[in-house]
Amino acid sequence: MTYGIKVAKTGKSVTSTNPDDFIFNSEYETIKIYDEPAVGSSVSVGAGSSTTVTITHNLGFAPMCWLFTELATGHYYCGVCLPSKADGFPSGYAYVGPNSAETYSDTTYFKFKIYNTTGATKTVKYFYFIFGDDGL
Amino acid sequence: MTNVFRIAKPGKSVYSTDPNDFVMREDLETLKVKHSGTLTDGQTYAHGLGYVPIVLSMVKFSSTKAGIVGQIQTTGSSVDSTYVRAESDIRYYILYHQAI
Repeated sequence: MTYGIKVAKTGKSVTSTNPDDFIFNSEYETIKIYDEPAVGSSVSVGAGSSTTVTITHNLGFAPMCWLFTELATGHYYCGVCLPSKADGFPSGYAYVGPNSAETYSDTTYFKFKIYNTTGATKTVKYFYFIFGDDGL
Repeated sequence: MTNVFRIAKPGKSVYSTDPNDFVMREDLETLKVKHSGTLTDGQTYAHGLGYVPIVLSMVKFSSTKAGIVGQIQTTGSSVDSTYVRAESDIRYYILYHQAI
């Protein structure tokens, strides 16, 4: 048995060698959340326009980032994708730019660009996780 | 007696019932990393778990620029019960948790 901080699941032994038997085991790295925004963060995107959101993290490496955007009221989308037909595609909708020039993380910033193809200004709520783990 | 092991966030109580108040709590499973690495377009990695695990992957756009989780270059990379398959240059984290 190796030593460390171990919390086994109910009915499992801390001497187990099966990783699935543990709530926490210091033998295994865990994904660490470095930063997340205040609940309710949002950005205004003009009609037929786009807006880039820039978050400065200053980690010195390009971190793993996870993004959720409310492309339609109450409907959050993960990462980069087009919304469903029920949420306006293809007539008028919002989406996160998929290209490497507009959505990415580097050693200083996490950036994403939101497009609005509708005829009215949209307020897009977003939530993200910047992890203390390398994205490259 | 119930055994507990808890680390609360600064300013929060270890007696809180809100999971968001904890860095670690004994009844909330943490996501443990089985393996992290990089693959180039067309490569595979045999994870050996025997089930389809949760995988987080990012496209490598350049030596200093990473895509976000779920962002693809042209076609998406995939995972099955045996392999992670890269459809572009990626960084990946395989977690000890069955996804499917």
